[in-house]
Amino acid sequence: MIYFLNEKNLPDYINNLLKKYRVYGTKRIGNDVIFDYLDNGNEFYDGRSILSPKNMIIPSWKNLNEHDNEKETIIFGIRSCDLLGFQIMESVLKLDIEYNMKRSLMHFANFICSEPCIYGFCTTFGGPKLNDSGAQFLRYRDGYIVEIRDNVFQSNLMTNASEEMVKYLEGYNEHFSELMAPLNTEDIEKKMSWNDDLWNELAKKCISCGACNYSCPTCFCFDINEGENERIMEWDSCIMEGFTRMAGGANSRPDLSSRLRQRFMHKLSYHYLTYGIHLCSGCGRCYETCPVKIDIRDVIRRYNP
Amino acid sequence: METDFKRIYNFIPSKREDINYGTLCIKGWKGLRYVKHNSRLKRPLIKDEKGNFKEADWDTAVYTAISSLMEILGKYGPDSLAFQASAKCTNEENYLMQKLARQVFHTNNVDHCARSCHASTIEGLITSFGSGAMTTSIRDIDNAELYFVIGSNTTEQHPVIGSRIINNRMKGKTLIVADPRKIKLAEMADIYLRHYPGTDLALLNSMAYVIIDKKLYDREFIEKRTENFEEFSRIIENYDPDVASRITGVEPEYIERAAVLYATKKSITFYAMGITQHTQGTENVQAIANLALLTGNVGRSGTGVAPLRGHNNVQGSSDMGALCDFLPGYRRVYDENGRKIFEEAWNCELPAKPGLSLTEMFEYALEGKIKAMYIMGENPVLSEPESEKIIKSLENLEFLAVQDIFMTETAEYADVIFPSQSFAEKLGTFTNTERRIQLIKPFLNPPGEAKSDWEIIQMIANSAGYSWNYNDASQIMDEISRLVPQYSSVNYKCLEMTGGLQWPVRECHGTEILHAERFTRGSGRFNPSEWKKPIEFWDQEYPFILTTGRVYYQFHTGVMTRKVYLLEREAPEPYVEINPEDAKNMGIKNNENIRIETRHGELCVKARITDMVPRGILFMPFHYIESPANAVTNSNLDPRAKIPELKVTGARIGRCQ
Repeated sequence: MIYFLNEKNLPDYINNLLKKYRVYGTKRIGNDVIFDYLDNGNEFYDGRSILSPKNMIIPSWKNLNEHDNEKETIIFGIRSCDLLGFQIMESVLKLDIEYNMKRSLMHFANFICSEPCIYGFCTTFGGPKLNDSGAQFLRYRDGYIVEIRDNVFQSNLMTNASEEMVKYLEGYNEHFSELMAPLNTEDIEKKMSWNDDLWNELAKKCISCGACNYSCPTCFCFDINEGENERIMEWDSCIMEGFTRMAGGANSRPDLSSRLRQRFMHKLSYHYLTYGIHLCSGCGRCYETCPVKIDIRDVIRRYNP
Repeated sequence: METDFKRIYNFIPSKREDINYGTLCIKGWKGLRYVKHNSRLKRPLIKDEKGNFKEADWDTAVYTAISSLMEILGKYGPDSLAFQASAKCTNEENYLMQKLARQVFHTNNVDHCARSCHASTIEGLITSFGSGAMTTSIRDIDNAELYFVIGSNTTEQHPVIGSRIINNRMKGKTLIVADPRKIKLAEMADIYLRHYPGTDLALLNSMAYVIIDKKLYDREFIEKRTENFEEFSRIIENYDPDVASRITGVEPEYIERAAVLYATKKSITFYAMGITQHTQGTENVQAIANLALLTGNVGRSGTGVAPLRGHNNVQGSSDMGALCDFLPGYRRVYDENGRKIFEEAWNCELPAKPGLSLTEMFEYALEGKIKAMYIMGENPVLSEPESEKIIKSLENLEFLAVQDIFMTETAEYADVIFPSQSFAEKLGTFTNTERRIQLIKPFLNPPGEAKSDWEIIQMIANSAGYSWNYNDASQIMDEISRLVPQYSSVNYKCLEMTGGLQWPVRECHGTEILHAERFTRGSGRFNPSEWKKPIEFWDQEYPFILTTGRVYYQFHTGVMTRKVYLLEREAPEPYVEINPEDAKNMGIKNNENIRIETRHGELCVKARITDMVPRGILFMPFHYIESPANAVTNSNLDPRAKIPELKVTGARIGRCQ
């Protein structure tokens, strides 16, 4: 169903959600937008967070010997690209019991961007209006058009949407594509070249900080290490030399250029060949957080100018 | 850092444009987990007669420490005590540490690890410009046209600044790199000068020669704002590129081209340990300042001299006077007027004789002249040269107190260990490499009974009969802002509102670029010097030069980073880099254990064959206790800055059994 929520009612709407659930939403600290647990509806800030809330389902660091009592949580204010990231990861993680358990306790309310960001290219993978979401909010005049599929988001603070609003929402991706031209990914999985000099060029710049992995809403690789009374699972990065180092020191990807190639080919080729979906939601965070500004869009453009 | 005071959830890069513009290096993403490591010290420890550490309560531990310190003070006098502050602690804590040494124990024997990294910067830049700090700002890097990087592996040691240089290079700006090792920046440089270790001064002097010879200097700037140009040009005359080429091994043509580019563009010079850790460290720094003065590349946007500081607060701890020869605010201890300010403020008499520098403290302890040491957050066993000597001198002490967040190689020798709080658990300020004073706030609960370093110092001072009563760190900052001119009018409210201020601060406004209208010391001074051969150089007996440095994944002595799994996975073991041809001639295979022998010691370490290093040069990171590079380095000191020459040690290679 499609509704309309007046901006004035948004804090109360969130307060109502807070009565029954934990709400993990976007907040503003200085000029930075981050995810945090909200104490009341006024703390919410409608903005694109620096990192996706991937951490909620795949923790950046977790002691596997400790078990948390997971609670039902609402992720409020996630951008469409980040939510799409979870849906993409499911192609692999649907077999993971822990992931499924956590995922089933999460309700997502995504906010559709009202204008294109400078880093993203989400129109390449569909656009900011998603086909499947608990609730999605689209800015419209003095409020939001809200499409609800998950009943926890129902509220009597909303009114039914007018026909004009429904039309605006339906046609939003097309409209957005005019503002943010989609990149051409046709056959890119076949066109990408293993021996391309591009990988050496990128390796010259890359300082292997791992930011592209840590900020990516679709990267799910982890490593497990053991300490005293603990068994730690933490985010890993395929840009690191130790990622593929085997016992005895042999390494199938010994140099940075081969690791960068792996990252981009996994994103744009291998995953598509296996699962029929690109391992990228077009959020552009890898470019945004990259200290030396390696741009995944340039990689796509190289093969499909 | 995202926490709920009990656990860390994630790390998020702030998008502040003036510092890191939304980026972090691997140590930012992964490295800070050490604060929650199981092995954090939780209760004070006292060593019993058998040499085992026993947990104790705070009162007992403080009593043990103060009674030993007072006994030694009474028996041998103030100069038998030595104190070490730390560049990892806050400004407030460093300020109190030197106050403890000077007010309570009447000695100038207080120093910290800035001695072995940027003491020559302080000495060199104060004598040239008047302020021993980066003249420009991180944000201002983008405004320059040329980057001259000498003796700094910027992408590995200061990745956020390094990546700014990379981005600007990609935009087509000019990059000149001078380094014996072919570092990442060298691969993308317009001009790469591969000079021999310890010949920086000859190289820099020769660049000045070219600039004067080709009349590319800024005549107006020199006339209006500098002094001593005549003497400078007289000494520089001896360094034409052909002569310098024979010393440095760099083609004369390259020196010329680099000098011409430097003089004709808006240039920033970046340097770090490769310049400072030499017996001529001060002269090296002055030579860099000379170049800037000669071409007017200082005091305006897009120009400057940028010493890159390694620890989070090495700038601040120096500002706070945690140095044996400077009082807070860089007033020299022998300057009567400077002393008077503090004598009045602290109501005591201050010694006028400069104290012992870090390296000297250990020498004196070895000779038995220093009887007790108080070390805060430092690990000299790994970070100082000739570690065997350091261990012997620690064993030689009658009393050693250490306050740290972890059990370190140094703390093993302590009689009392105080557990302290990490940056995440306390309130305070840090001053970063661009002089920016930033407020830190607690967002984790401290482990066990750990106290912040300033609280511990206050307990010691008060049990010695003083009545310091700082309730929190902000009151210490109020005192600092009254006494240290650079920090005048700094208070926490101001810092919180602005998100950090660059000193000198005037009424809640920072200074982005130093020396804009006039130099801090009045006029900029040319300080020319002749190049001298390093004390140890290539010779028959020791045909290699060993130089030390760091790796991207580790920090300093690894006390923190080696406890982080992912960082340790990436750089788990020590190695020595050797050129392929040298390896071939000596029949060394990759990863083979080889013996490095110097005049000061020997060790076995894995060889890594790489053309990163030129022939005749060996490189070793110093983070690792397994093969501590500093076991074999020399402790020859720069006579003025007292910094050890860690970058040039004569070495030879032997076989390991």
